[in-house]
Amino acid sequence: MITMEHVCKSYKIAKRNAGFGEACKALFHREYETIHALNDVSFTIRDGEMVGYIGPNGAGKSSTIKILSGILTPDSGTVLVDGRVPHKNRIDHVREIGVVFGQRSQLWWDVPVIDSFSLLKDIYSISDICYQQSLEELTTLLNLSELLRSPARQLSLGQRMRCEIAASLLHRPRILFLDEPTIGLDAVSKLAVRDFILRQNQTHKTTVILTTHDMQDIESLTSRILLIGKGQILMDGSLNDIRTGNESIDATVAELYRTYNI
Amino acid sequence: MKKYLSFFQLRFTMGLQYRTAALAGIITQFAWGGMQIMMYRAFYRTDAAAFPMSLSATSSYVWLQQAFLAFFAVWMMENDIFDSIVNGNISYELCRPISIYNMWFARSMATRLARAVLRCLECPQNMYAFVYAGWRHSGLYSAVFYLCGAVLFYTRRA
Repeated sequence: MITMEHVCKSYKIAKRNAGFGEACKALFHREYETIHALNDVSFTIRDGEMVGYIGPNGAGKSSTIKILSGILTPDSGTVLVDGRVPHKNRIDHVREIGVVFGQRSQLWWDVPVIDSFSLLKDIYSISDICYQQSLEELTTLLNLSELLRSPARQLSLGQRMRCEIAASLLHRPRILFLDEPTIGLDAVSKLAVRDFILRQNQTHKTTVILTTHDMQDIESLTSRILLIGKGQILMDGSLNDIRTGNESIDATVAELYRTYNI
Repeated sequence: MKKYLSFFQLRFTMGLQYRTAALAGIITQFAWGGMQIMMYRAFYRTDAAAFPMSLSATSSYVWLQQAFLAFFAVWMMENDIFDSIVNGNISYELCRPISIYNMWFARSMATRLARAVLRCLECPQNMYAFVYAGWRHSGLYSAVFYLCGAVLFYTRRA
């Protein structure tokens, strides 16, 4: 069970104009701007739920995922994931969760993928039997058998993403945070990933929080969506609540953003 | 503890993976060591009594220094770690149930050991050639024997 209550997070960014003169001036006097990434965000997610977390660029989606993973510390508010505070008990917390950051890489670049998997097996202290079972299941479902012996740098983006998703699930986490997992993937890979996540939720009752700009992902996977804009939760409902007539889902969401002025 | 050993093993494997880079590094070190010995030889010819040890001992020291360069090259830091901070991959490292400091320490140590092992595997073979030649001739000749012996040894192994 995930609970966020009145969470706030802001970033201080130094801004200046272009040019050498401005750079020299900035050496002595710097102008800061505070970005309020999260402004009183509260929600609750029950075990086994699949939630889509949507919003325009810069709304605070990735900040929320990072706070829930324990990477960032919120400025104020309480965060509880299965009774633990993520940023306080980082090591105990991350043992139980799986995270996929779509724009980052967790596999070691130069070594075969299976070597990275073996390292994760040791880091998470997975027993040999569990590891073999997980590996077989993931290899079959994500079609990884030909990819495991290649170094990560020689895989295409779609192949690498499939391996990364497998790497995040080797230790069978109960909660899965997906931050844009299908970014840059072709249609076949996207369908494979979607199908896989759905299966994980159905068989292992994994709680999934999915952040994405691809509305087809939301349509096929999630029943509940949380809309965040300018650091605030603006809507907590289902896709049917926002669907109007026969418009495409992207047009519907764009209209939604316009309505809320975000 | 096992986690850190795994990191160590992985980094070690990576260090041995690129053979051309290893060969290039070895050749560079031979060139550098050879240059230093030639310099010392010039000084020794001028006034051998000014030095606390003989030329052959100095040559041994230079070659040992080259073989174990990875250990005391303080400037050689794990660029992987800096890159991961800059491009954000560190988010994944923070999602591992493991102490960050200990993990980075194990990685850095493994990289240095892998490099050092590659270089100094040639040492026992060449100490023989070196001692034999170094006794009979000046440091420069023994360096040439060392060079030939090590190159032959490496190409045979590859």
